[in-house]
Amino acid sequence: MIMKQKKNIDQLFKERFANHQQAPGAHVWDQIQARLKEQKRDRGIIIWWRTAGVAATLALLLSLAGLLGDSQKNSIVEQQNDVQKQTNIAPEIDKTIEVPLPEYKTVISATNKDSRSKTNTPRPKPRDNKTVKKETLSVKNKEIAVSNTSGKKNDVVSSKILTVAAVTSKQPPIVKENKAPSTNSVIVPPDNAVASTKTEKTGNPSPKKQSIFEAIEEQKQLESNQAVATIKDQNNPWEIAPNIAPVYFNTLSQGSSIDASFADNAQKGDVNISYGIGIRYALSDRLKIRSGINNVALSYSTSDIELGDGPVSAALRNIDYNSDGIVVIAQDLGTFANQNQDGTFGEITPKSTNGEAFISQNISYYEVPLELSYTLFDSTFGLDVIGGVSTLVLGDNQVSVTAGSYSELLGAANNLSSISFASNIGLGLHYKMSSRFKINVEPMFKYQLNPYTDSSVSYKPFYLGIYSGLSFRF
Amino acid sequence: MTLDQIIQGCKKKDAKAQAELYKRFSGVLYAICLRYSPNRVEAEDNLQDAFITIFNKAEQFKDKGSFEGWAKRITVNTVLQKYRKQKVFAIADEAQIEDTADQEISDNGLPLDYLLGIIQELPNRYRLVFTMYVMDGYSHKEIGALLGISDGTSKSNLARARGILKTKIDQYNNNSV
Repeated sequence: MIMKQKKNIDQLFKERFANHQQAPGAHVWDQIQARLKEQKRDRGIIIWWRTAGVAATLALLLSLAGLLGDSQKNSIVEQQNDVQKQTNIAPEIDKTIEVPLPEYKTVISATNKDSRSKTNTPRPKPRDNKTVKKETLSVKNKEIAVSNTSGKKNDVVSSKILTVAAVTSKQPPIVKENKAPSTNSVIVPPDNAVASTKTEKTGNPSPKKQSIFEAIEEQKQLESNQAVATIKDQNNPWEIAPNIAPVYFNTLSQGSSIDASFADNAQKGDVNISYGIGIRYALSDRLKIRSGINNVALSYSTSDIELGDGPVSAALRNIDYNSDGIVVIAQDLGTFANQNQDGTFGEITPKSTNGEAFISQNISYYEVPLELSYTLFDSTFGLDVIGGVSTLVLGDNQVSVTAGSYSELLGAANNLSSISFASNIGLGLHYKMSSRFKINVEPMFKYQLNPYTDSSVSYKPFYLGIYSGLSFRF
Repeated sequence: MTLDQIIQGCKKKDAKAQAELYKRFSGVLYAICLRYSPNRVEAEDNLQDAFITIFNKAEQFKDKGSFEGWAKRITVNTVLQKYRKQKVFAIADEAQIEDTADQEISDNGLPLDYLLGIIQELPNRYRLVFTMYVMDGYSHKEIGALLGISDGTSKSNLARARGILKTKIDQYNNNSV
């Protein structure tokens, strides 16, 4: 309605706009719908990752539980089998060492301080075979004295051992571990043990009985040796691995975790240190499950910013400042220049600094990884493929600004999730220094899944670390 | 659908409820965007952003108090966030500002579109302060907190805005006489 009314300007606007409504163009709703769909899809991807992570973790735990149960059974069964095999192989060994028997026996008894030589008396062949064979095997399993007194016989002995070893290599676990010591060592076996065995044997009245007793005796020894011999994986499945890693932090897509206005600024990821301790358990020959705990420091810096002093209300939203009054304000480069045309943004006074200004975010996490490693090959040098998830617990975090020699801590970021996850993939290279010690170098790529409490942050962080250290098997 | 059903539906991200919400409130929220933004195109962008935020934050609405008020506040905050840091494109008159608040002005049936137009022509800062104070009833203290300025700056900004608007309206009135 047309009115010639006199009113002041406030009233004019207030009245005219009191029930102001206007319909936007139809395309606006279309665009809103499109964005909602996109968000749904992004959320779906994140849920997929999380579900996959959880499923992988469950699978790991289940297989660990399952295989752990199995492997214990296996070692016992294998031991029994090995013992069986030992006795079964007997005839073969018989053939290989039939001839040189006497010499062999001589050598062994030569190492005895106890000079009882009853063992030198020839025994009826059939039982001898059995007996001696057992002796041979037991001797093989302990460290053998290749005494220097009988040079020729040394050769004989070592070749015997080799033959025996070769024959028994049909049983998987034993030989590898014991080959090395037996051929190279010049160690005196516990004389007492050998002596006592001999003594016992020689003490038995009738040859027949002797052999049976001896057989039982040897069987027992074999079993215990087998138990010792099946060291390889069943009894030393654990590995402890302290490690340290240089870690490079960056993002897969442009954005900023500090403020949306910095999303298109130049950024640089930093290299920091992660250190920790890992523990591995061998589920089988090739499959290991790994966990541990690490402390990892991550940081990156954003440039193209400018600094000023101003009230907290004008400062970056995602940071918890330490004060309620005037704080250091960081904003996109060029904001001052534009605002000062109007002269009224006096609340933020520019700071004069010498040098380009950067805003840095430093975050530290406690990381508990849960991974599986699959061994591709394993000799002196080895290669594993590793994959899994890590749980990250937020430690310290701070956002600070630097410009030339000036630097100031702004506060902690408040948009970081205190518990988040990462998915890991990488390779493990190792060098075996001995049967128990390895040097490991493991480059790993870890992609953070839900690091921010605000889902609109477009920063997609990951870190790449080269985890190195020494590991010990027990 | 009743408003309550719409709100509950939006909390569950039900597409139908969201469409209904848009139908009901886009008019009033777009009006806010028009008053706060420098032009129509940006007003539409800001409306989009506001609705996305409203839909995403629907589950946080506590079912207490006015949903419309809550939605309006979100809209205002969305626009403020955008222009708080943005450059001001008009160079203001540096002359002494007299406060024209109480001066009479004739309302000759000035068209709404015209009034809206001159509001949009104001430099961002002045427009925000004027609209918040005059049309949406914020106090200078509240404006200061939201825009990161002092009470005093808010007052002087308001005075400047009034001055500019009055000058333009007077010109318009004189021209149309």
